[in-house]
Amino acid sequence: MNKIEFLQKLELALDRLPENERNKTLLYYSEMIEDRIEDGKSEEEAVGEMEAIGIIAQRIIDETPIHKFVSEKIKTTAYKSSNKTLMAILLILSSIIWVPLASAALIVFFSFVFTIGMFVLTAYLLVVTFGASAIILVLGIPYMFISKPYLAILALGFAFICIGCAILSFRLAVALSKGFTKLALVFARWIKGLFVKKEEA
Amino acid sequence: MEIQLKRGFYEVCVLAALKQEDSYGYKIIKDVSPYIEISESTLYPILKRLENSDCLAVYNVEHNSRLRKYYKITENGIKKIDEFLLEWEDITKVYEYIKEVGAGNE
Repeated sequence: MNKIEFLQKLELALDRLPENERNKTLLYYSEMIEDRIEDGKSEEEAVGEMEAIGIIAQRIIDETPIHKFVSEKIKTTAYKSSNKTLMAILLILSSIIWVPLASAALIVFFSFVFTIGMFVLTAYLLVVTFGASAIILVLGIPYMFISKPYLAILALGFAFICIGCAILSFRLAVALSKGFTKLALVFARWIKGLFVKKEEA
Repeated sequence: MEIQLKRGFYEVCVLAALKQEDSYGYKIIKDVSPYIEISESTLYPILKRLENSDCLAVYNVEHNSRLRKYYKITENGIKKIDEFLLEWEDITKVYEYIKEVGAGNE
Protein backbone atom coordinates (compact mmCIF):
# COMPACT_ATOMS: atom_id res chain seq x y z
CA MET A 1 0.00 0.00 0.00
CA ASN A 2 1.38 3.43 -0.84
CA LYS A 3 0.88 6.66 1.07
CA ILE A 4 -2.07 7.91 -0.98
CA GLU A 5 -3.94 4.61 -0.64
CA PHE A 6 -3.29 4.54 3.11
CA LEU A 7 -4.57 8.09 3.58
CA GLN A 8 -7.63 7.42 1.43
CA LYS A 9 -8.51 4.35 3.47
CA LEU A 10 -7.94 6.26 6.70
CA GLU A 11 -10.17 9.07 5.47
CA LEU A 12 -12.92 6.58 4.75
CA ALA A 13 -12.53 5.00 8.19
CA LEU A 14 -12.79 8.43 9.83
CA ASP A 15 -15.90 9.21 7.81
CA ARG A 16 -17.94 10.22 10.86
CA LEU A 17 -15.32 12.48 12.38
CA PRO A 18 -15.89 16.24 12.03
CA GLU A 19 -14.19 17.45 8.87
CA ASN A 20 -11.50 19.61 10.48
CA GLU A 21 -10.61 16.86 12.97
CA ARG A 22 -10.39 14.39 10.10
CA ASN A 23 -8.13 16.66 8.08
CA LYS A 24 -5.83 17.25 11.05
CA THR A 25 -5.51 13.50 11.56
CA LEU A 26 -4.74 12.93 7.87
CA LEU A 27 -2.08 15.67 7.89
CA TYR A 28 -0.51 14.14 10.97
CA TYR A 29 -0.27 10.70 9.38
CA SER A 30 0.92 12.11 6.09
CA GLU A 31 3.73 13.90 7.93
CA MET A 32 4.62 10.72 9.83
CA ILE A 33 4.98 8.75 6.60
CA GLU A 34 6.97 11.53 4.88
CA ASP A 35 9.37 11.76 7.83
CA ARG A 36 9.93 8.01 7.74
CA ILE A 37 10.69 8.13 4.01
CA GLU A 38 13.14 10.96 4.64
CA ASP A 39 14.70 8.77 7.31
CA GLY A 40 15.67 6.33 4.54
CA LYS A 41 12.72 4.02 4.34
CA SER A 42 10.82 3.13 1.20
CA GLU A 43 7.24 4.34 0.90
CA GLU A 44 5.91 0.79 1.31
CA GLU A 45 8.01 0.26 4.42
CA ALA A 46 6.95 3.56 5.94
CA VAL A 47 3.26 2.80 5.40
CA GLY A 48 3.81 -0.76 6.65
CA GLU A 49 5.09 0.58 9.96
CA MET A 50 1.76 2.29 10.66
CA GLU A 51 -0.81 0.46 12.75
CA ALA A 52 -3.85 -1.17 11.16
CA ILE A 53 -6.30 1.46 9.90
CA GLY A 54 -9.14 -0.03 11.97
CA ILE A 55 -7.11 0.36 15.18
CA ILE A 56 -6.08 3.93 14.36
CA ALA A 57 -9.64 4.97 13.50
CA GLN A 58 -11.08 3.37 16.62
CA ARG A 59 -8.55 5.10 18.85
CA ILE A 60 -9.05 8.51 17.25
CA ILE A 61 -12.84 8.21 17.46
CA ASP A 62 -12.66 7.05 21.09
CA GLU A 63 -10.51 10.04 22.00
CA THR A 64 -12.75 12.59 20.29
CA PRO A 65 -15.28 14.11 22.71
CA ILE A 66 -18.91 13.36 21.88
CA HIS A 67 -20.03 16.99 21.45
CA LYS A 68 -17.85 17.26 18.34
CA PHE A 69 -19.76 14.40 16.73
CA VAL A 70 -23.08 15.98 17.64
CA SER A 71 -22.26 19.30 16.01
CA GLU A 72 -21.01 17.46 12.91
CA LYS A 73 -24.22 15.44 12.73
CA ILE A 74 -26.32 18.58 12.95
CA LYS A 75 -24.24 20.21 10.23
CA THR A 76 -24.53 17.29 7.81
CA THR A 77 -28.27 16.91 8.29
CA ALA A 78 -28.70 20.63 7.78
CA TYR A 79 -26.75 20.53 4.53
CA LYS A 80 -28.73 17.61 3.23
CA SER A 81 -32.01 19.41 3.68
CA SER A 82 -31.15 22.22 1.32
CA ASN A 83 -33.75 24.63 2.69
CA LYS A 84 -33.19 25.44 6.36
CA THR A 85 -36.16 27.77 6.76
CA LEU A 86 -38.52 25.22 5.30
CA MET A 87 -37.14 22.63 7.70
CA ALA A 88 -37.65 24.99 10.64
CA ILE A 89 -41.25 25.71 9.64
CA LEU A 90 -41.96 22.03 9.17
CA LEU A 91 -40.41 21.31 12.55
CA ILE A 92 -42.65 23.90 14.23
CA LEU A 93 -45.80 22.76 12.42
CA SER A 94 -45.17 19.13 13.19
CA SER A 95 -44.51 19.93 16.84
CA ILE A 96 -48.15 19.02 17.55
CA ILE A 97 -47.14 15.47 16.78
CA TRP A 98 -43.55 15.18 17.91
CA VAL A 99 -43.69 17.10 21.20
CA PRO A 100 -46.24 14.74 22.82
CA LEU A 101 -44.44 11.75 21.34
CA ALA A 102 -41.07 12.90 22.63
CA SER A 103 -42.48 13.69 26.08
CA ALA A 104 -44.14 10.28 26.18
CA ALA A 105 -40.83 8.63 25.29
CA LEU A 106 -39.07 10.65 27.96
CA ILE A 107 -41.68 9.72 30.58
CA VAL A 108 -41.46 6.04 29.66
CA PHE A 109 -37.69 6.23 29.92
CA PHE A 110 -37.73 7.88 33.34
CA SER A 111 -40.39 5.48 34.67
CA PHE A 112 -38.19 2.65 33.49
CA VAL A 113 -35.15 4.06 35.31
CA PHE A 114 -37.30 4.78 38.38
CA THR A 115 -38.68 1.22 38.44
CA ILE A 116 -35.25 -0.34 38.24
CA GLY A 117 -34.01 2.04 40.91
CA MET A 118 -36.91 0.99 43.14
CA PHE A 119 -35.96 -2.68 42.69
CA VAL A 120 -32.45 -1.93 43.88
CA LEU A 121 -33.76 0.15 46.79
CA THR A 122 -36.18 -2.62 47.79
CA ALA A 123 -33.36 -5.14 47.85
CA TYR A 124 -31.31 -2.91 50.17
CA LEU A 125 -34.36 -2.30 52.39
CA LEU A 126 -34.78 -6.06 52.65
CA VAL A 127 -31.20 -6.33 53.91
CA VAL A 128 -31.86 -3.66 56.54
CA THR A 129 -35.18 -5.22 57.63
CA PHE A 130 -33.82 -8.74 57.97
CA GLY A 131 -30.67 -7.49 59.68
CA ALA A 132 -32.62 -5.39 62.18
CA SER A 133 -35.04 -8.25 62.90
CA ALA A 134 -32.12 -10.61 63.57
CA ILE A 135 -30.52 -8.14 65.99
CA ILE A 136 -33.78 -7.52 67.87
CA LEU A 137 -34.49 -11.25 68.12
CA VAL A 138 -30.99 -11.99 69.45
CA LEU A 139 -31.26 -9.14 71.97
CA GLY A 140 -34.60 -10.48 73.17
CA ILE A 141 -33.38 -14.04 73.74
CA PRO A 142 -32.00 -13.53 77.33
CA TYR A 143 -35.32 -12.05 78.52
CA MET A 144 -37.37 -14.80 76.92
CA PHE A 145 -35.05 -17.42 78.36
CA ILE A 146 -36.01 -16.37 81.91
CA SER A 147 -39.77 -16.63 81.41
CA LYS A 148 -40.36 -19.03 78.50
CA PRO A 149 -37.26 -21.00 77.39
CA TYR A 150 -39.03 -22.63 74.42
CA LEU A 151 -39.79 -19.14 73.05
CA ALA A 152 -36.09 -18.28 73.27
CA ILE A 153 -35.17 -21.32 71.15
CA LEU A 154 -37.85 -20.37 68.64
CA ALA A 155 -36.48 -16.81 68.55
CA LEU A 156 -32.96 -18.13 67.96
CA GLY A 157 -34.25 -20.16 65.03
CA PHE A 158 -35.95 -17.12 63.54
CA ALA A 159 -32.84 -15.03 64.10
CA PHE A 160 -30.83 -17.51 62.03
CA ILE A 161 -33.46 -17.44 59.30
CA CYS A 162 -33.34 -13.63 59.30
CA ILE A 163 -29.54 -13.59 59.05
CA GLY A 164 -29.74 -16.04 56.15
CA CYS A 165 -32.33 -13.91 54.39
CA ALA A 166 -30.27 -10.75 55.03
CA ILE A 167 -27.22 -12.33 53.38
CA LEU A 168 -29.26 -13.56 50.43
CA SER A 169 -30.95 -10.18 49.90
CA PHE A 170 -27.59 -8.44 50.18
CA ARG A 171 -26.25 -10.58 47.35
CA LEU A 172 -29.39 -9.84 45.38
CA ALA A 173 -28.96 -6.10 46.02
CA VAL A 174 -25.33 -6.15 44.89
CA ALA A 175 -26.24 -8.13 41.76
CA LEU A 176 -29.08 -5.73 40.99
CA SER A 177 -26.95 -2.61 41.38
CA LYS A 178 -24.25 -4.14 39.20
CA GLY A 179 -26.85 -4.97 36.56
CA PHE A 180 -28.21 -1.46 36.76
CA THR A 181 -24.77 0.10 36.21
CA LYS A 182 -24.13 -2.22 33.28
CA LEU A 183 -27.46 -1.31 31.72
CA ALA A 184 -26.66 2.38 32.10
CA LEU A 185 -23.29 1.81 30.36
CA VAL A 186 -24.90 -0.07 27.50
CA PHE A 187 -27.41 2.73 27.13
CA ALA A 188 -24.71 5.41 27.10
CA ARG A 189 -22.80 3.48 24.41
CA TRP A 190 -25.97 3.14 22.40
CA ILE A 191 -26.51 6.92 22.52
CA LYS A 192 -22.94 7.53 21.35
CA GLY A 193 -23.47 4.88 18.65
CA LEU A 194 -26.31 6.96 17.22
CA PHE A 195 -23.76 9.62 16.36
CA VAL A 196 -20.73 7.50 15.62
CA LYS A 197 -21.13 4.87 12.98
CA LYS A 198 -18.63 2.15 13.77
CA GLU A 199 -16.37 1.18 10.90
CA GLU A 200 -16.16 -2.57 10.55
CA ALA A 201 -12.50 -3.10 9.72
CA MET B 1 0.64 -0.58 34.06
CA GLU B 2 -2.59 1.13 35.01
CA ILE B 3 -4.08 3.23 32.23
CA GLN B 4 -4.26 6.44 34.27
CA LEU B 5 -0.66 6.11 35.45
CA LYS B 6 0.52 5.31 31.94
CA ARG B 7 -1.31 8.30 30.50
CA GLY B 8 0.47 10.60 32.95
CA PHE B 9 3.82 9.02 32.08
CA TYR B 10 3.29 9.52 28.36
CA GLU B 11 2.38 13.17 28.76
CA VAL B 12 5.41 13.99 30.91
CA CYS B 13 7.72 11.94 28.67
CA VAL B 14 6.62 13.92 25.62
CA LEU B 15 7.04 17.19 27.52
CA ALA B 16 10.52 16.15 28.64
CA ALA B 17 11.48 15.42 25.03
CA LEU B 18 10.24 18.90 24.08
CA LYS B 19 12.11 20.59 26.92
CA GLN B 20 15.42 19.84 25.21
CA GLU B 21 14.35 21.38 21.92
CA ASP B 22 11.28 22.01 19.82
CA SER B 23 10.40 18.83 18.01
CA TYR B 24 8.02 17.18 15.52
CA GLY B 25 5.92 14.03 15.69
CA TYR B 26 8.28 11.45 14.24
CA LYS B 27 11.27 12.77 16.21
CA ILE B 28 9.30 12.67 19.47
CA ILE B 29 8.46 9.03 18.82
CA LYS B 30 12.09 8.22 18.07
CA ASP B 31 13.33 10.06 21.19
CA VAL B 32 10.81 8.60 23.58
CA SER B 33 10.43 5.03 22.32
CA PRO B 34 13.63 3.63 23.92
CA TYR B 35 12.00 4.39 27.29
CA ILE B 36 8.30 3.87 26.74
CA GLU B 37 6.41 2.03 24.01
CA ILE B 38 4.68 4.64 21.87
CA SER B 39 2.99 4.59 18.49
CA GLU B 40 1.57 7.28 16.19
CA SER B 41 -1.97 6.70 17.35
CA THR B 42 -0.92 6.92 21.01
CA LEU B 43 1.05 10.12 20.47
CA TYR B 44 -1.67 11.92 18.54
CA PRO B 45 -4.23 12.24 21.36
CA ILE B 46 -1.45 13.07 23.85
CA LEU B 47 -0.29 16.01 21.73
CA LYS B 48 -3.89 17.15 21.39
CA ARG B 49 -4.50 16.95 25.14
CA LEU B 50 -1.27 18.80 25.91
CA GLU B 51 -2.18 21.49 23.38
CA ASN B 52 -5.68 21.86 24.84
CA SER B 53 -4.29 22.19 28.36
CA ASP B 54 -1.81 24.83 27.20
CA CYS B 55 1.24 22.71 27.92
CA LEU B 56 2.59 23.10 24.41
CA ALA B 57 2.28 25.39 21.40
CA VAL B 58 2.20 24.36 17.75
CA TYR B 59 3.77 26.06 14.75
CA ASN B 60 4.44 25.08 11.15
CA VAL B 61 7.84 25.05 9.49
CA GLU B 62 8.40 24.59 5.79
CA HIS B 63 10.62 21.60 5.26
CA ASN B 64 11.49 20.01 1.87
CA SER B 65 8.59 21.89 0.26
CA ARG B 66 6.03 20.58 2.73
CA LEU B 67 4.78 21.77 6.09
CA ARG B 68 5.98 20.13 9.24
CA LYS B 69 4.25 20.69 12.56
CA TYR B 70 6.61 21.62 15.38
CA TYR B 71 5.72 21.48 19.05
CA LYS B 72 7.14 23.87 21.62
CA ILE B 73 6.83 23.47 25.39
CA THR B 74 5.15 26.33 27.31
CA GLU B 75 5.56 27.60 30.89
CA ASN B 76 2.59 25.43 31.81
CA GLY B 77 4.29 22.39 30.34
CA ILE B 78 7.49 23.03 32.31
CA LYS B 79 5.38 23.38 35.45
CA LYS B 80 3.76 20.05 34.69
CA ILE B 81 7.15 18.30 34.54
CA ASP B 82 8.18 19.86 37.86
CA GLU B 83 4.93 18.80 39.47
CA PHE B 84 5.44 15.27 38.21
CA LEU B 85 8.98 15.12 39.63
CA LEU B 86 7.82 16.46 42.99
CA GLU B 87 4.96 13.98 43.13
CA TRP B 88 7.31 11.20 42.18
CA GLU B 89 9.51 11.86 45.22
CA ASP B 90 6.61 10.85 47.44
CA ILE B 91 5.93 7.81 45.33
CA THR B 92 9.62 6.81 45.55
CA LYS B 93 9.42 6.94 49.34
CA VAL B 94 6.42 4.61 49.30
CA TYR B 95 8.24 2.37 46.83
CA GLU B 96 11.30 2.14 49.09
CA TYR B 97 9.06 1.25 52.03
CA ILE B 98 7.24 -1.46 50.08
CA LYS B 99 10.52 -2.87 48.80
CA GLU B 100 12.05 -2.94 52.26
CA VAL B 101 9.11 -4.32 54.21
CA GLY B 102 6.88 -6.03 51.69
CA ALA B 103 9.19 -7.78 49.24
CA GLY B 104 11.13 -11.02 49.51
CA ASN B 105 9.95 -14.50 50.37
CA GLU B 106 10.41 -15.82 53.84
